[in-house]
Amino acid sequence: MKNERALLVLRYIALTVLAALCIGPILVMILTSLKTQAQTFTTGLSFFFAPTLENYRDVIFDSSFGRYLVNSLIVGIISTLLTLLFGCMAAYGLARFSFAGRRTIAYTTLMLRTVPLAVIAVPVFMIWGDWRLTNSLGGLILLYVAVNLPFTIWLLYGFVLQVPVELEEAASIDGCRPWKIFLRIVLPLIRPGLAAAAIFTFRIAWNEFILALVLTDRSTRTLPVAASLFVTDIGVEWGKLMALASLIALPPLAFTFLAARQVISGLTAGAVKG
Amino acid sequence: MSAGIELINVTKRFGNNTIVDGINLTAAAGEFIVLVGASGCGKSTTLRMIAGLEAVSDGRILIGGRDVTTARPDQRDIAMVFQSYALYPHMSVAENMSFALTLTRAPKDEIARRVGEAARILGIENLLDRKPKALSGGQRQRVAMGRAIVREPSVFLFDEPLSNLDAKLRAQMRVELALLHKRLGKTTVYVTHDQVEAMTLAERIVILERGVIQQIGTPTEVFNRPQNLFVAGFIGSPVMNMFKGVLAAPDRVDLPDAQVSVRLPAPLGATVGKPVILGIRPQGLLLGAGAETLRMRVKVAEFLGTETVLNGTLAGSGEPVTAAVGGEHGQLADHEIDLSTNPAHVHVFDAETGLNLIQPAKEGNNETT
Repeated sequence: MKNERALLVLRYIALTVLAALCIGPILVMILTSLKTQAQTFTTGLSFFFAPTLENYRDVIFDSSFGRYLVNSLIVGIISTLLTLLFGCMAAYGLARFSFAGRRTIAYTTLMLRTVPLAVIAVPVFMIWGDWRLTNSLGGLILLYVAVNLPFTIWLLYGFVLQVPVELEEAASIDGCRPWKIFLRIVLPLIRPGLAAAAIFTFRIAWNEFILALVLTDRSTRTLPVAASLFVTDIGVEWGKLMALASLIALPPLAFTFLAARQVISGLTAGAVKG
Repeated sequence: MSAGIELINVTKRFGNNTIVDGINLTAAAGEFIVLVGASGCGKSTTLRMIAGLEAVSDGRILIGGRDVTTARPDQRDIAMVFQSYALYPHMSVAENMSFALTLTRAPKDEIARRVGEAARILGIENLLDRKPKALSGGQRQRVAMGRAIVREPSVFLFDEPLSNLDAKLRAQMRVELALLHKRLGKTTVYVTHDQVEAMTLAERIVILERGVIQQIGTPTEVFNRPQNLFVAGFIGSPVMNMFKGVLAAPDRVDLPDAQVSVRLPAPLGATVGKPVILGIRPQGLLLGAGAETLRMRVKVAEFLGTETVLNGTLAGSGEPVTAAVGGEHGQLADHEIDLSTNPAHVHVFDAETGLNLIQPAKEGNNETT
């Protein structure tokens, strides 16, 4: 009995430490964003200071913020949509059609995703340069689609496999051609997978820094690259950097909450006997 | 309108494996045909070929006189009820039932009328707004049938539709299926491995084994006149007793190991001295000594309410024996008893070919063998 209680206490302590490790940096980010540059160095991690929204005002009303925000939204949304579009079709093809090397492709797709993005930065820069894709949002979108597709295909492949083939057969007897089966039967049933893939893809496209830094210029810069501009030769503008970081974190957060509602299990419940 | 079905030399091969081997079968318009056989005998593959879900390797399929061998499933004017129900989980019951009609852009009031009519026939009017996951197994089965009825097809195909239901519900649905067929009068091809379903529902039963038709006939024909050992062993419960014997005279089979001679209902044309298998239905073994008496050591006596099934071995040969005798006879367990035979339930099979020598093949395999 005593041991159980001790174990419970230990468990809560461990969970609290883990939670603190997760929340701590976010808290520091928000606190710093509400401080003046002077307060950043004088108050340390203290909660006791006179908060100011000056950093947010400076960041938001900066002449370039709007452009960077639009760039990030375009890159994030379009690359997510394209990744889902190609990903679900590739996953369906891998799961349902038989062709040479199908299983090998299905199971090795994910290996491509294990390569760190920093490793491909230089070759991508050279190839994109040759193809005249640098300094364009299209080039960045293409890259993020390529980077995110393997995981999306792998994830959706598993979801498509869970859709009973009998449903597709029933639909074909009901009068659906292959495209209609895919759109009317399969896609609605892999919605949780699409939502999970969308969260993953959008988050990477929105937050990615290294490749965006290499491939963009003043007009095509995304928000994470813009944040790096607060690191200057004469020092780091912590307040503004943290204010922008806080703002950058909001859209993926909202998107995740929205999309996560679709990530529910049991969509195929009742389709076939369990 | 109902349409007949014709399978002409239909074959299905997967690589080097022949799953269905040159089947010939004709179902008249409005007929209820049951394909029955053990797992892997090719019955479901045959049904799927009729549905167009499986390509035919060889042969032709005609529905209503029209060659549909290469037609898409939706061009065959059929509806199919799957073993697993295959209801669209993201649609309500009403949407499931009306899906095919909405694809053909049928008028809304027509769709509503047909869904309502099917729901009324099946007693699922109160379930129309529910999703499949909120239904019981029996209700899902009804919805699957409703989805088929709504389309008003020429042919209904059923792939073991009752196998996921419990025994009580299965018996109830069996009756409902029979009533439904009587009411709609549509040609029906029904696949099952359950011989009770086959015997009770079918106008004609098709017994398949390793992709080949073993016999086609009415339930009475296949039970009383099995064409070969396989059919004899497959149809009937408990399973027919089989004893090794020799044709001692045109109307007499000797069982040398059991030292018994059994009289046949009629003399056979086969050569005397020929090795044969004597088949006797458990219902054809009667308690008490007779003109020829089989001695049985009873090991287990199972009382089933109206009859007792005695399981044991034949004294002398040790071959397994089952006898189904009327009334309660639980006390016979662990006793040695005398059984006499009812000649009407006696069959003689050629030990080499397995063919029934009393009722030689008339229609034959694939309706010709």
